[in-house]
Amino acid sequence: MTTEAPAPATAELRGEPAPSYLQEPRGLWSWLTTLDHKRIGILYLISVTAALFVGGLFAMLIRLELISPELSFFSSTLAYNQAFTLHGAIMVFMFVIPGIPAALGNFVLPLMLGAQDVALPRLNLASWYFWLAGSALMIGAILAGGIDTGWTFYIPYSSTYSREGDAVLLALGGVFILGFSSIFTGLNFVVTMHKLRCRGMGWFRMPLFLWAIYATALLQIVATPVLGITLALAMVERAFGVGIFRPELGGDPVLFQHFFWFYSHPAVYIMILPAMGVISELIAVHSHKKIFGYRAIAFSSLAIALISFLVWGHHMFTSGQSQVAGAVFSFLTFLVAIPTAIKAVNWVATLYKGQIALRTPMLYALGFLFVFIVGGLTGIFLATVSINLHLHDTYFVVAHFHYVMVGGTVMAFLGGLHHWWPKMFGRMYNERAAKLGWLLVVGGFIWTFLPQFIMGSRGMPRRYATYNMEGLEVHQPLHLMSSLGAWVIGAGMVWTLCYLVYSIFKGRRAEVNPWRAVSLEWDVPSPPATHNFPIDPHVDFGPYDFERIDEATGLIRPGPESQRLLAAAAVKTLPPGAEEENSG
Amino acid sequence: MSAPVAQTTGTAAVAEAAAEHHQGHHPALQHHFENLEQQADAATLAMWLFLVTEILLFGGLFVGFAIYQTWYPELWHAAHKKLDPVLGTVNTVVLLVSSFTVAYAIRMAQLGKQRATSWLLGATIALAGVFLVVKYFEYSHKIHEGLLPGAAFSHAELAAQFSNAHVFFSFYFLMTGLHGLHVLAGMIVLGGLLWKNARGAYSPEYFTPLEMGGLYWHLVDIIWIFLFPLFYLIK
Amino acid sequence: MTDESREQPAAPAEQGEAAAVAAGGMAAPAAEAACSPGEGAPRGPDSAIGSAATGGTPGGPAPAPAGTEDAAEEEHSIYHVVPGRVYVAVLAALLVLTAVTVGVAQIDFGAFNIVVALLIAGTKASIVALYFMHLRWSNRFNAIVFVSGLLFLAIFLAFTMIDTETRSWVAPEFDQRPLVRQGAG
Repeated sequence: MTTEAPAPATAELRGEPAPSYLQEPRGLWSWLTTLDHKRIGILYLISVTAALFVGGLFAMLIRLELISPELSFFSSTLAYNQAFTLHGAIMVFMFVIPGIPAALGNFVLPLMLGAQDVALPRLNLASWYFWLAGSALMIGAILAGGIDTGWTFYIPYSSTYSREGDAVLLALGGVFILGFSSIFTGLNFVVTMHKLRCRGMGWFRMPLFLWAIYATALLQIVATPVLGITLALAMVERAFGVGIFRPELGGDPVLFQHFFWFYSHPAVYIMILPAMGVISELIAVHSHKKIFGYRAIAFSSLAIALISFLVWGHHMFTSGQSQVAGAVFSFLTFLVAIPTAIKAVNWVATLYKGQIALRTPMLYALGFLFVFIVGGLTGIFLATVSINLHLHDTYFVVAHFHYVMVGGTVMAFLGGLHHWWPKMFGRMYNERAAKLGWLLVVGGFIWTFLPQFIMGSRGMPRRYATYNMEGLEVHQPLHLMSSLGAWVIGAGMVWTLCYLVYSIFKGRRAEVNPWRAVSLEWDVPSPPATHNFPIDPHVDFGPYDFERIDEATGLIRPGPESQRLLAAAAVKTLPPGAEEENSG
Repeated sequence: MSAPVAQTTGTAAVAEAAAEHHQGHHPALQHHFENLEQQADAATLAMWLFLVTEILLFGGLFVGFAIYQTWYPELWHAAHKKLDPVLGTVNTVVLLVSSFTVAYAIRMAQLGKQRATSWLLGATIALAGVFLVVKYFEYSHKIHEGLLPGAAFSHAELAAQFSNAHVFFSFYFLMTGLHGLHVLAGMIVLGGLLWKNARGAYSPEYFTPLEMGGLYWHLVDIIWIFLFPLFYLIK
Repeated sequence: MTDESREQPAAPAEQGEAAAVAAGGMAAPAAEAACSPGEGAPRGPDSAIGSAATGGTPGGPAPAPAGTEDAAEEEHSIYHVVPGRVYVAVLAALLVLTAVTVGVAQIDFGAFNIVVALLIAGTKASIVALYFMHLRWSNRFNAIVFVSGLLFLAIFLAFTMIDTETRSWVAPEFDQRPLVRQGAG
């Protein structure tokens, strides 16, 4: 609330703090049936973190295998194939896609808008249950023998060759249902942003995180149904053989790839756009400076969303797609670099002469800037058809998308988590412990994936369990380095989990506005009350107008309209006699 | 730290006022909306976004259909003759009339005519049932002739002419089957609305669920409007 | 049918555009990108009924000029009651168009068969959307949402066909079609 100025008097009269959303109502059942966006955000946070650790465990196992050129850790190459498939599928569908929007977005979006909740709270809860159901099917697929199709479920792997019972059908069904979860979240956010902005909250007063979430939500709504029908067709194809994708029945497997990537390329931006939104917040708030190029960043999110629908064929340069299409998709892919670079330039310009505070969220933002730009630039190499023919299906590709997905999304997720942690739980994490965690994650990340660029450009293919042939053994030292780095990331993740959980119980209590930020979530208590705002807020300032901070209290100074509204509400509430005290 | 704690309690105090304020409202109004108009607006936008997801879900099949049709025009031409345009036309008329009845049902709800709304919703459900019955006869005829997807395909005449004639019928069964599932879902949704309407849940002030059910039903109709010429009429 | 409904002051451009796009055209480029920032009014007691009109639409197109205050308010409200004769006329039009499409199917236009059939289907779908689904009286952004859905479907089809229709251009030894043997028939 911008309107808390007269509140102290009211508060002293009552003498008791309002219960936070974490306290009331109590009981596990109240959490499982909650319609409160903040609690659903926390439920999502717990779930996606679990998925992150399960997916990460598979990554650790993969890296363990690759230390040696021979088959050493896994019992068979099939087991290795299953490990990388599950690593990819769990990370992509269960962690990265819902990660930032559903966990962090759910928590902060209505608060940032000055709204009491998302537009469709029941759908919001349903989305989480769909996530659970889809994930349960994925786990069912693991228990039913695992899948070795790769996370892309390419035909004919998924239709003909992967014959592990019904595991493939279970996994396809699981991802199908996870898609519903994603659609419901995106749909909810779009409606909320259109219909529930508080008074004074124009589109250009929304924090940039919301612009990014908006662009993401559009992608979720438009692209995800195509994934649904693609997976449904793959299921029918596997179960009955309808001959749309299966070549032996007259189908075209390349058509499957078109269908799949019509979703999954925009899905890459479903994964990275929210991360970019988080970075915009972190950089502006922790350099305490108005963001440079607000509209450029806002519109570049929409531009990325739109262009992302026109470039999917760059995943298929070597898969039998026509060369005409290859040229068209290659050219259009280069266009993505423009809005992306606009963002990067504006972030750097925001840092320039800002009061940069090297707190953990800012460190993650800087880490993001560094590695994401490397990831983005290597994407331009891969978008060039002639270079792609050389690099396709090598570790170069693996390194590229991990630079974008881990170096981009995971770092932004961690940065955003630290940024909003005090608001979510009302406690401060230990800054020194967090800096150590940052060092392990970012250092381990570069240590893991930089060698993969080198290996890949020298021809080390991806998805090989063994590399004791054709002179590939020369890559063993780099593989070893990469594996060691992976364990450093793993240690960093476990360490981060430990000190964050510790802080919930033992951390210093957080102020209302520890970072001196100006968006509305920093104007409610930490942690917020169940009912977000006692009266619907009124804003007359932008999300980065840091001069509105009262440096003494750290709170946002209410504008005249807010003061009037709160005074009116307070007068109505106070018991007789208290009014004079309040005004006096 | 005094200011933040104080702010917390201030919040609680004013929240009571807000709760009081909400008491005079329509029972269907949810706490985070200002009024029914805003709530209906939000629901309508959400429904249109959902319809877009439906369009793109069916869109995948339409795209596949279009590509195979351009690849195999001769097969498509020969195979479409196996479908019955009379039954297709009857079903088109049935769905169009059902769209009319559901639109009129909402109009009656807007005018506060609860019984008329119920009758029209019932008529819509009945027409949806007619559609599915016609579809049942079409399907059993196809199954009888062996015009089926995949290995089940056993139509001697088409099999002699084309090596993979079953692909047309894969599209036929997938597209009309998915549409049929939507008709079935629509019958359930409309049935729920009919039940609630009979219990007096809707009024000229609040009929948003009816409007949403109607939007969904019209989309099912629109999809059939495209399926009908593509399967039954294209030469 | 349209004569009756013209009593309602709606923007004719909107109607035409929706029809064109529903028929497979590609109007309204980048619809959301252009229009979302200006849409809608922030909520509040003063922006309740008829909010789209009072809140102003700085980024989007201005609302159609309305005859009276009441008409302007009705235009964007879901509480707008459509006259029963409009629904009857719409149903009649749809049935006539169904008859037309069945009749036209007997004539061979060669490659244009599918174009004619889809044009008629698009017209029917537009009528359903505009009148039965109340798009004509609904918030303009709902129409933008609907049309952009069709636009993205068009992108999906067009860009996939860039591949499937050109596979033999550069490498003629590859038949553009997958591994199906076309029969002798």
